[in-house]
Amino acid sequence: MLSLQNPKLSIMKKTILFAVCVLSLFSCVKTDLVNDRVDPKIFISNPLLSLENGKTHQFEVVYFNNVGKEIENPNVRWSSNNEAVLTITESGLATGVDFGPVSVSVNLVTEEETLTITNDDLFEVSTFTAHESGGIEGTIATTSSYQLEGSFVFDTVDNGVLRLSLGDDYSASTSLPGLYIYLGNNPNSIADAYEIGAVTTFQGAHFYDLPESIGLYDYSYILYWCKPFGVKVGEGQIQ
Amino acid sequence: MKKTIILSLLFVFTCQFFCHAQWLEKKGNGYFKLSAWTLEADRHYTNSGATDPNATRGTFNLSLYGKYGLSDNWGVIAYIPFYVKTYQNHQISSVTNETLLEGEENTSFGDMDLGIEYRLFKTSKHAFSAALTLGIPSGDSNGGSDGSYQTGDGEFNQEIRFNAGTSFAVFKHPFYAKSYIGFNNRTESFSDEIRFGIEAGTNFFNKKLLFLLRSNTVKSLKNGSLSAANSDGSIFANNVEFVSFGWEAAIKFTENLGISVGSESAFSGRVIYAAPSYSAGVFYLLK
Repeated sequence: MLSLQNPKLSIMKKTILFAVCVLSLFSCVKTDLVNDRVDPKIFISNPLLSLENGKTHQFEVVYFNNVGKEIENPNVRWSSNNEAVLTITESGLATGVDFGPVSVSVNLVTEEETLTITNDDLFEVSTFTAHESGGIEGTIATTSSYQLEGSFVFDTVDNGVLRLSLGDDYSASTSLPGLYIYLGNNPNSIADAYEIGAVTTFQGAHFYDLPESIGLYDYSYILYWCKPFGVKVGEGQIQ
Repeated sequence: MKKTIILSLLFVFTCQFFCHAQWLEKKGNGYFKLSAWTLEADRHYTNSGATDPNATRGTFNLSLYGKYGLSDNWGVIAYIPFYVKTYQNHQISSVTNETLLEGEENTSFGDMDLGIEYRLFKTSKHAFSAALTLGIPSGDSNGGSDGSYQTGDGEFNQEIRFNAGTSFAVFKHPFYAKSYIGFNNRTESFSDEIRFGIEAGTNFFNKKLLFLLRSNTVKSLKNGSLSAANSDGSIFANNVEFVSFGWEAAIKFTENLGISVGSESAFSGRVIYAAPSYSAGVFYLLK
């Protein structure tokens, strides 16, 4: 006959209650700290190959801070290495004043870490204006123990659509559950990344057409992310 | 058609109960256990057997395990996880302290196992039995915001298992050893599995304390077609494998009632979390 007055049972009851409480207490949503620091980056998003003498060009700049977040209207400083060939205002409006090669630089002192970062555009002032075009090529490599590799081209196709094309040499492990592809500026986080979608092709050439709102220079990384594990498994740098 | 990575460790848990150090119960006798079990992991075994990091995920469940002798030759077994919680930690930036990804949890009933066991034959020192276990997909196979917080695998499986046990003495101290081998037939394009395990234990303090060690192994036959390539990017993994090692200690407070604590961990595996699980429970021996 069981009796709760039995001291042994009382000890047992307390022990099991303690064990269940401890187990359940630790089995809840807690916090993981993620080191998502990246080097801040600044670049000219509409570089030139040449500028017609006497014409102007409004340079634009994109800045990603130390966690890969785009900061609007960064307080940058523009400069020309040869004012006799090209002048440039504080807002980045360049004017060709004579023929010749010239380099435009943009500088920013970051607020977060007081770093000075620079991006240059080397071009010529000549008889016509030509914008840089053409795609960006690169490779995807695994950052995990899962197989993931291949080449990619990030380019604007004929109808003006930005397309990410994976090459014939692309190969990914089919053992990866919940594999998704993103465009991001922080290789350690998808918090501000654009989710292209679930990966459904694991071998060979294929492509993703991206929405008009995404520009060629908006993202620095292609990220392959395993959702159930919440971890990056591969990446490619868009440079 | 779904087998989650998390569920693959629930499965370790299931194995743990199914090879508990109980022989086939006599008619009218039973063994019942109410347990809490937890596992939390920030690393996992990949498909190549290496270990990779992951966001911390965990599973906690409360379950009832029961084994009852219908006759001296037939017994029934049930494993009922009536509360299963899967969760993932918040992901916080160490640079800005901003939340990168909100944590999440899902709680529901889990997948039950119902089985029947038959005594093949028994001698004074040896016992052999066979068991058929049905894996009932009573859990949530698509839980959470992205479907990956499952508490069940969504498939109906059947396992046939052969058990063998023996008792012996070392320096006049009594020991027992058990082993099993089973074939798990899985449906919904999952690969079938071979499962086997060994267990050895002994009593102390006039049979008041039982201590046992066990090892469980699951080998996939890799005959299922389910893979990430044909499941539209689903979060489910097939061909999960592992070898685990664990221990359990049970203390009887009365002739019928006691508590047990234990731990088990996969020390090699594929597509499974690489972390130990812990359990505690109270058991009742019906005599």
